[in-house]
Amino acid sequence: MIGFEAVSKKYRGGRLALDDVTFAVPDGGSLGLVGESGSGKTTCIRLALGLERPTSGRLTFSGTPYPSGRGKLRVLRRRIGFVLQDPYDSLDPRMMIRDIVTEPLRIHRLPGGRGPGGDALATDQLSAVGLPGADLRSYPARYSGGGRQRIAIARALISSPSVLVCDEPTSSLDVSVQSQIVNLLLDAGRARHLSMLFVTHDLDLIGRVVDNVAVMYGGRIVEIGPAEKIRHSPRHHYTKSLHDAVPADDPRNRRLAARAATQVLADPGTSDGEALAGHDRCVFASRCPRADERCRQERPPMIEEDADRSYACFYPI
Amino acid sequence: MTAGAAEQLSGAALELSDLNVKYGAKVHAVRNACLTVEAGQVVALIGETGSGKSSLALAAAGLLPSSATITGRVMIAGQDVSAMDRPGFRRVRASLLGCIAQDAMAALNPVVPVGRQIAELFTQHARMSRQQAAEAAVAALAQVEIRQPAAVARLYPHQLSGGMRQRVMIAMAVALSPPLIIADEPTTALDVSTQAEILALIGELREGMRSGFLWITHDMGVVAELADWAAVMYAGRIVEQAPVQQIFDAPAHPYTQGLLQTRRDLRSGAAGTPLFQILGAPPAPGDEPAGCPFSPRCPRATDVCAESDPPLEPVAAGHRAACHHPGPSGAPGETPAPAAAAPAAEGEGS
Amino acid sequence: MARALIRRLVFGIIAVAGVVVLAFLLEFVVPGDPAKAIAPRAQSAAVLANIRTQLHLNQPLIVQFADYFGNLLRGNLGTSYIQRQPVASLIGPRLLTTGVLALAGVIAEVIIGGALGIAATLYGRVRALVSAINLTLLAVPVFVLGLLLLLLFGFRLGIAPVTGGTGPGQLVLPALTLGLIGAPWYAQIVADQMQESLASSYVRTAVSKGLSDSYILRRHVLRNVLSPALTMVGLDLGSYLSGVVTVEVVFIWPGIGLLAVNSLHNLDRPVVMGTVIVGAVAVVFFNLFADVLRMFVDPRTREEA
Repeated sequence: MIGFEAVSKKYRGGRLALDDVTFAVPDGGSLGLVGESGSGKTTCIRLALGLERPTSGRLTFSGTPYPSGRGKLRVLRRRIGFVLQDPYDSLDPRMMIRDIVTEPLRIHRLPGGRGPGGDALATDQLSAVGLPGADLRSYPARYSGGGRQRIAIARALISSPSVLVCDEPTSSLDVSVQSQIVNLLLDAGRARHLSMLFVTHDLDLIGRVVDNVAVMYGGRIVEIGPAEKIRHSPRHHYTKSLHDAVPADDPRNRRLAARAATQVLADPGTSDGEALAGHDRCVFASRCPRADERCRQERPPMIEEDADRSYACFYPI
Repeated sequence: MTAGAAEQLSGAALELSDLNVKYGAKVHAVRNACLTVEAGQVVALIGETGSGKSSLALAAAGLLPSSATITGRVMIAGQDVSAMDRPGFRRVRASLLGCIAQDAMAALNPVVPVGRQIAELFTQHARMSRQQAAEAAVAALAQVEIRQPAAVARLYPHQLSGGMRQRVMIAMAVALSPPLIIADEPTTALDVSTQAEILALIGELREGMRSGFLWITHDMGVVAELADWAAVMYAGRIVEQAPVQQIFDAPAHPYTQGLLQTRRDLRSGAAGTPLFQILGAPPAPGDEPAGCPFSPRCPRATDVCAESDPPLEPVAAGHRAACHHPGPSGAPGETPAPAAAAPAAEGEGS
Repeated sequence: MARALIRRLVFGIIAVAGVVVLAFLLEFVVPGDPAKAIAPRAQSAAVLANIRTQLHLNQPLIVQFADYFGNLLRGNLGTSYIQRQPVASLIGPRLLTTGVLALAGVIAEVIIGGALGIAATLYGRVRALVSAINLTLLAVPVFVLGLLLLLLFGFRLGIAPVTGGTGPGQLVLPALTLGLIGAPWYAQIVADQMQESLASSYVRTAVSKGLSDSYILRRHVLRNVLSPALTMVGLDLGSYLSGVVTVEVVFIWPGIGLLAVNSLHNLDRPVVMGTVIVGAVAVVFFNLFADVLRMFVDPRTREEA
C-alpha cells in the first residue's frame, strides 16, 4: 500500500535523517517501525503522510509515486488516516468534538462535512470508538488522554481511508488505557480491511499488533521481518540490545540493575541514538559488542535470509 | 534497638503517617496514606494519572504549591519535617533529601552550565569554596558514569542528551548522600535503552549508599528490576502494599492484578489476539464514585463495594490490601476478563 | 553563532538600503522647491534655474539617486539648504546629545520598570496598584507627561531648569519622562518572566536543593529575566537614537530629533533625509547589538535551530 524504495531524507544543515530506507506496508497488512529517538521513524511518518518529500528514492502509494501537487496530494491524503502520539496536542482545544471528527470530510469535500448529516456521522464514528453517549458539542478538555485518542481515531477513520498511520498512539497513555486503545485500533483495522503503519519504541507492543516489523537505528533499517521472528530470534545486535533493555517481568529475573553500566553506553555529548548515518560504516558499530574493523569501514548490505526476512550485519546472531 | 533514642539518630528514611493532600475543597489527591521506606530500601510507588502518586511525592519532599493543604506526619530520617516551618525545613532539607524529577530538561536551569548547578549544592550546604565545589561537581558527574566529566560540566542542559541530563539530576540528588531520595518517574520519558542504562546506574550507586529510595513509576517492569517493596495507589489511596515478590506472585487487589495481567499479556500473548484490558478508566480527581473507587471497573465488585470504601488491612504477613474481596483472581462469582474489545465504559466526565 | 550574526547583519544592511531609497523619495513628499529654499530672496527665474542645475535637479531620477547614494557611501550626506554646512557636521554633535538622553532614558526605564515588575511579582498586595500605574503610564501621551513634569518641577516648584541646554540639570526631566513612559513595558516583561521562572520546574529543583529564597532569586530567576529585558534595551536604544522627537521638543533638548523637526519646518530636505538615514542605521545597529547581548545571556540562542 505504502512503499518506501531506497528513500533518503537530508535536512538543511546536513542532517541525514533517513539513509536508503526500503520497506512496504502490504495491502490489508501491517508493518511496524521500531526505533528510539533519532532512529528516523518520525521522519518516515512525515514522508508517508506527504508532509515532506524525500531527498532521494521513491515513495509510492498503491504502486504509484506520491504526487507533488497540493491538490493531488490532498486526494491521496484522503486515503490515509493518522493517529499521533500526543492526545493533548493533536486536537484543537477550541473546536467542538463534532467538528474535529468531521473535519476530514470538509477537507476532502465529502458529504456530511457541514450541516445536520454531519451530526449523525460523528455520532456513529464516536460510538464505534467507544464513546457512544458523547456530547457532540463538548470540547477536548473534557476528556482524558484515552478519550482524546479515541476522538483522534474517530477522526482518522471517518473518511474511510485505506491506510492507517499511527505514531506511538499509546505512549502517552496510562497503562490501563493503552490496551483499550490498541484493541480499538486492531478491531478497526480488521473491520475495515485497513493497512497499517505502526510506529513505536515498544518491542512487546509491536509484536502483538503487527505482522511485520522493521527495526530502525540511525536513519537506517537494521533488520526487517515477521514480528514473531524479530521478537524471539533477532539477528541484528541492536535488536537484541533492545530486547535486553526491556525490564524484567518478575523480580526473580531482574538483571538490569545488577548489570555493569558500561555496556552499550551512548557517546556522551551526542543525542540519543544519533549515530553517524550516511557514512560508510555500520551505524551501530560504535556501540556493538561484536563490531570489528570491517564494521567500522564498510557499510553492511541488507542480507536476505528468507523471502520475508533481512538484516544488515556482517556477523548476525 | 529501643525506639526513641535510636529513632532520633537514624530511623526509617521516610515515614508517612495519615498523610492527606487536598487542593481546594473538591480535590482530595491523597487519602490517609501510610508508607515507610527503610534505609537502603527501594520502595516503588505504582500508580497512573490521577492516582495521587505525584502529590504524595511532592508532599513528602515539601514541594507542594501553597494552594495545597496537607495534614498528617512526614518523618525523614527520624525528623518530623511536617512540623517544621519553611525556613527551618529549608536549612535541613539538603542533608535529608534528594530529588530526581521526571523531566530533566525542564528541571535544570537552561542558562546555567550543569556543573555549576551541581556545584551550588556544595557551596551552599557543604561550605566549600567555588574551586572546591567545582571539582566536587566534576567528581559527582564521574560518579554517574559520564565520560569526560570536566568538559560536560561546562555544557548547558540543552546540549546534553536526555540520558545525560537524567544522570546530571541523579548526580545532584546523591551528591550529599542524603538518607532519602525521591524519584518521580525518572525513566518514563527515556528510550528503553537509556532507561536500562539508568537502571543499571542506580543499581550500582545503591551498592555504596545507605539511602532509602521512594521510586514513583507506572511501569511494573521497573518495579521488578529495582524495588524491594511496592505500594500501589489508586484514586489517592494506597490500595496494596507488600514486598515486591509478593506483589508479583500473589497480588490481592484486583487493580494490581489487572496491571500485572496487562503487562504479562502484552509480553507473552499470541500475536494478533486482543490485548487484555481493564475496562473503564481511572476516575478524575475530585470525581470519584462512592464506596471503593475501583468498583466500577472491578470484576469482583459486589453491593458492599459500592457502599463502603475498604480500609487498608493485612491479608498476609507484611502484605496489606484495601479490598472487600482480596485474593487471587478467578474466584467464584467473578466476571471473567473480557476477551474482545467491548466499548469502553468511559463517559465524558473523565 | 557567527553565521547567525552575519545573516542578521546582511539583512540589516539591506534594510538600511531600503530606507535610503524611501528617504530619497521623500523629495516628492516634502513640499517646496529646493531652489527657493536655498535662495528665498532670489527674484529672477534664471538664478533659481541655475541653482536647480547645480543641484542636478533636472537630471533623471535615477541619476540623482545614484549621485546621492554615491555621496552617501563616502560619508557625504549633502549640504543643508539653510545652514550652508555639511549635514554630517550638523548631525554629529546632535547625535551625541541624543545619545546621552537615550542612555539616561533607558537607565531610568529599566530601573523604574524593573522595580515595578519585581514588586508586583513578589508582593501580591501591590500587584493591583502596579497594574494601575502601568496602565496610566501607558495611556498618557508622552508630551502631556513631559509638560506636566515641566510644569510641576520647573515652574511651580522651581527645582528643575526650564530653559533648553545640555547640562546635567536639564537631563533629569526628559530622562525621567522617557523612563516613566517606557517603564510599563519593562515592568510587564520582568513580571511575566519572573512569574514564569518562579513557577518553573527548575526553580522547584532549586528549592528542593535547599537553596535560600534570595539565592534562588539572584542566581536562577533574575538570570532568566535578563534575556528578554536586554533585548528590549537594545531595541529601545536604537529607537531612541533615531530621535526622541517629542521629548526633545518639549524640553528643548538639542538632539537629533529637534534638528529633524526644525529642518522639516524649514523644508531643509538634506538634513531631514540625513536624520532619517542616521536613525535607520542606529536602529539596525542596535537591533544587532540586542541580538548579540541576547546570545551572550541565553546560551540556547547561540545556535540557529
